[in-house]
Amino acid sequence: MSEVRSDERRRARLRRLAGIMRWVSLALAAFGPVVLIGVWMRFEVFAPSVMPGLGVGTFSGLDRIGGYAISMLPAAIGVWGFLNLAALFGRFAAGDLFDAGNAVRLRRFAISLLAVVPAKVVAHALLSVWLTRAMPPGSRQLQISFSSDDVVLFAIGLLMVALATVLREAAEIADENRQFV
Amino acid sequence: MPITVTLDVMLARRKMRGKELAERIGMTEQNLSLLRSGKVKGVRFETLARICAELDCQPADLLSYEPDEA
Repeated sequence: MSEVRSDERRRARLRRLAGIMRWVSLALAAFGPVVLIGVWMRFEVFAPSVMPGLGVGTFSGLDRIGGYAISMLPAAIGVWGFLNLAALFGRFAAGDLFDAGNAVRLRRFAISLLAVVPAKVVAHALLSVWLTRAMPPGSRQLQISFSSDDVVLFAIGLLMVALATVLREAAEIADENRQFV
Repeated sequence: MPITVTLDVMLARRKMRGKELAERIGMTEQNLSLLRSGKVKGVRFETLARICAELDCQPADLLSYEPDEA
């Protein structure tokens, strides 16, 4: 009997944790686009660290709006990934640990991590072209940026795809077990 | 599936209703109904033991094997 109560306590704890993680995921989904607004409003401050060697001191309103739109390319993928993660934790919080849909949501989050890496590279290149478009020929730039962080992010994405595959198998086993009385 | 659940026969012999058996062995009526109709993939030994204890029978009284004719 105490074993049953211990199981219930453990599951209740898991549901609470999943509920918190759902809100954290939703906050992270909102974080990117909101922070980007701040970054582009004060891009003079962030430009040396975000895009070193750009050689542009002032940015027009059109520069900022275009820059924000280009920056939103990887950010939108991140938002999509975190919304799927929030949905996954929502299912966990509801007590559906081995639902087949959970594996789909985890897989989508993993795909978002994988997709955000090339999206970042493309966005950085587009930004350099966009922000230096008004400069005289010879000074315009096309920056290609790829860091070790991107490699780590990509590796985590691959790991998540593997975990999603395992979760799908687990869901199928759990479904089969439900058919045992 | 060549395994047939003959729980209905034992329930009739013991003059017990499915609802009563479900309550006694701590199983939902829905699950017992699925078991009676053979719409389950398997029966746990624990469930089998509870049913045998309540109906005072052997597992062989609840299951029968009839080979497929094909």
